[in-house]
Amino acid sequence: MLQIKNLNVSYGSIHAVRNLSLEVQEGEAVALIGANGAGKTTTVNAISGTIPSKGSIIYQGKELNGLAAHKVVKEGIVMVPEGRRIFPKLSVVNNLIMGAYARKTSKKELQQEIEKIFVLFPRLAERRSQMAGTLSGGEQQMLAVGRAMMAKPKLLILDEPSMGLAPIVVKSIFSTINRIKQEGLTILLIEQNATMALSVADRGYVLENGEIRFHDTAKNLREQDVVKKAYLG
Amino acid sequence: MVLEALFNPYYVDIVVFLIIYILLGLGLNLITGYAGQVSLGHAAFFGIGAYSSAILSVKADLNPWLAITLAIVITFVISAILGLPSLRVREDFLAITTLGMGLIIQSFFKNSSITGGAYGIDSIPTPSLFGMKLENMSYLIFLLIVMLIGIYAVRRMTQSRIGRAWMVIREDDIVAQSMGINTTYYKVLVFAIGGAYAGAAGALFAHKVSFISSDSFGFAVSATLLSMVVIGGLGSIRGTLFGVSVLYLLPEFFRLFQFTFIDMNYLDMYKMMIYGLLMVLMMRYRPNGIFGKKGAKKVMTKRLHKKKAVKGGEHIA
Ligand SMILES: Nc1ncnc2c1ncn2[C@@H]1O[C@H](COP(=O)(O)OP(=O)(O)OP(=O)(O)O)[C@@H](O)[C@H]1O
Ligand SMILES: [Mg+2]
Repeated sequence: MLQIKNLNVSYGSIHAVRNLSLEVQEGEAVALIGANGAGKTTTVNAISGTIPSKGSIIYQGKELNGLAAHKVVKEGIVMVPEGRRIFPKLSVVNNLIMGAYARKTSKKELQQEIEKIFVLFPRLAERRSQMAGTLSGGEQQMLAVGRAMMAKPKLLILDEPSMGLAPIVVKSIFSTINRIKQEGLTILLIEQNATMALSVADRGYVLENGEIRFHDTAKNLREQDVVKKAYLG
Repeated sequence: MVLEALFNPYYVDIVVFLIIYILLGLGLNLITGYAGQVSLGHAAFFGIGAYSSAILSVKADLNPWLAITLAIVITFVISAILGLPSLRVREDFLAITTLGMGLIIQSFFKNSSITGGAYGIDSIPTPSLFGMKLENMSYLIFLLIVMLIGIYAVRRMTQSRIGRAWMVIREDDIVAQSMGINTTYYKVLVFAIGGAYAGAAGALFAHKVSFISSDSFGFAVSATLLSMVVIGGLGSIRGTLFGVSVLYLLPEFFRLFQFTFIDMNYLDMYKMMIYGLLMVLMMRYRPNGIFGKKGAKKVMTKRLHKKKAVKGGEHIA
């Protein structure tokens, strides 16, 4: 579904991503794991078209590199940005409505889709008219995922959904991600939390200083000594 | 008596200029209030509209109606171009950039031969309708209609997909892109439309006063407009109507009654001081303006939510 070949991104003299190649098959969940500053967010931004990059990003047979960000979304790649970035001054429902912006939908359809999101995240349902900025971190992350789902993605990219959240909240969010995956959505999961990421993913890539160090099935990665030492604690 | 006062040309003029300011305010509110792009150069769009219509009707001898229409189109296009920096810079940098552009355009008005240089342009014709010259009261009625159409159009736009795109851009530019919004297009569009409002105001101003010079399109006008829109409440039509009316009529009121304790020669200076003070008070006590979203009520509910969150300490997510 998505094939990245020899992706390179530089910020001035900082070469943040080097010759990165990565593949995501349809229906698969792939984890991209790395420590702070490894270049994970940079990779995501390059895929979503918000920063310029070199190399090829083929999605369903189409070259994405060079495509404007808003067009990438129309292709079906939707991301949940690092740090959630919900609209703090809008209500939960309005945040969700904004998520469906790229599609033309009737009010009724929107309503039904919002209710589906609330099934996925019941906590949000109780807070539907609350201003999003007043939600807790975990709820905001749920909202960010819900908002992305409203865009009806074919490939969902999540950039560090566990960031700054208590373990029990992370568990709950990952079980929802797992559920979304079971429903057949293709997922690229960016994480520092390798344990959680590999519990959901089928395969994983380990990123260090902008380069892919290993890639293997999630099961094998979990058992590999180097990965264990560096990321699984 | 009442009728006499109603048709008193002095009062009529005050209302005419008030409506012109409302048009300016509506345009600026689109740019800064709805789409979140700070502009300190709105007077430039005002001037471009005024000079375009003046030049077309005086120098090119066009019918005033045609001149006004073309002036709006010209301002639409030029504003779109002047809005391009918003694609690269934000917030305070955008404020400085637009301020600079406003000053450059004003100095163009002052120095170019096409704009009549320091002398400006005079003998700008009054438009007429069915053989009747639109002066005083009839011009006021015409402007009133234009204003109502202008308000209606802002309402429609801001409640449409376009308005939602602007709102998302205002809230978070990057996220807007990753939601499929063509931010380039919508930012340029808001400058074009907001500018066209100012262009209309400028053209209508030029044909009212019949003489224009660069002095009418300086930074003080841009700053005054921004104060009006901010104090009224960004992203609110009622706010703009309120902010413009109060701040515009306040100095007129002082002028009218000739208070002995104020030296009228310094009225403009006092005006800026009071606007400044109001802005500071606003920022402190009502950062979203009088009619802004999230007024006192919502701020209070925010506090309530916070309290709840503290109480319910066992809630984890
Ligand atoms: N806009 C930028 N300008 C300059 N350097 C940048 C910029 N964004 C990222 N970098 C650098 O690129 C490198 C990779 O950053 P990136 O944000 O991709 O890391 P990350 O893996 O997402 O880290 P984290 O887990 O902390 O989010 C870092 O060294 C960072 O300093
Ligand atoms: Mg990151």
